[in-house]
Amino acid sequence: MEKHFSELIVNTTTTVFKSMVFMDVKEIEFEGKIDIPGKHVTAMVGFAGVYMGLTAIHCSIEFARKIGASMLQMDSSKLTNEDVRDALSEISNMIAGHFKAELAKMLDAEQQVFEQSVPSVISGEDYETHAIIDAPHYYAAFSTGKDIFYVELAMKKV
Amino acid sequence: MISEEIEKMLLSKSIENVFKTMMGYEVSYSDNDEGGDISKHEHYTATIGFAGGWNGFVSITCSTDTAKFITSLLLGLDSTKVTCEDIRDAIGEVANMVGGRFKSLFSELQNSGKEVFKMSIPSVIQGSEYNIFAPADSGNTKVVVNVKDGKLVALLALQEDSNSK
Repeated sequence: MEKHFSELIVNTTTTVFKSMVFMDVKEIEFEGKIDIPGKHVTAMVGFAGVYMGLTAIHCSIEFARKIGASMLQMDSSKLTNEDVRDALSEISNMIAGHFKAELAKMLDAEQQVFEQSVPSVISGEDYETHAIIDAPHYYAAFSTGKDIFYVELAMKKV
Repeated sequence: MISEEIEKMLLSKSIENVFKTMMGYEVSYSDNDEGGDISKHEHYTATIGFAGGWNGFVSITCSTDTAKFITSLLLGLDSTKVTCEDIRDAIGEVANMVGGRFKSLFSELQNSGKEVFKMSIPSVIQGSEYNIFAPADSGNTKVVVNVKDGKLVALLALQEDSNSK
């Protein structure tokens, strides 16, 4: 089952990036820690229901700007910091939402497997995040060819 | 929609209650306190998401010294002996308890008989030079309390789910 969750978050991320950000992203090997030099940003969505946990996307501020520019069809130099945070929030929301739908399909669930919180965004140069959960934790790394970003899933059945 | 004033009152009561009942500590307030700039130095933030008829999150942020003091109160340890993991667990638990107390007070206020939201798992951020943001349309209610020689800044984001209105 754990392998399925991990595959599901990878498929969800590639689908959301292709359809909403118009970017092809490929999973690459996760080397044990999130390593983003310089300013970076994290958008997290908590969820609760039959399953509880969170999903998070971690990337550099430059890549978050590219996501914003692609989603909003704007020149990245014209985006405000708030535009960038909103775009990354929206992506994290969509990853959680798509994951929820795929998880429900996989489990053949008739009711919602969870409901989502609003995203929180963390932005800065020197920080790390820790989900406090006594359950498996999944990380996946992705590359666009130029940029690397990470998606995290922490989840347990209630 | 609830007013920022009511959100502030409920959040303040939740923090006061958790500190008093779980740590035997009375927090205090200073007039017009914005909490200073904790983000320049090493600090901790714990968040917990709300999901259901109302969506949002609550976060608490404090300096490492204040986080150590809170950890020592909650776990009954000497503050010089607490580890980073102890601090993360304690701060995460305080956010969880503040979120739980807020849920209970908010449910009483709504008086609808329905569960207002479920809570997700806590997440802890540790570092310096970082800030936390909530979506602009979910309110950004802030409460600052004095804890020993430091400040604890709580941020509440809350919005009614459009499907449950």
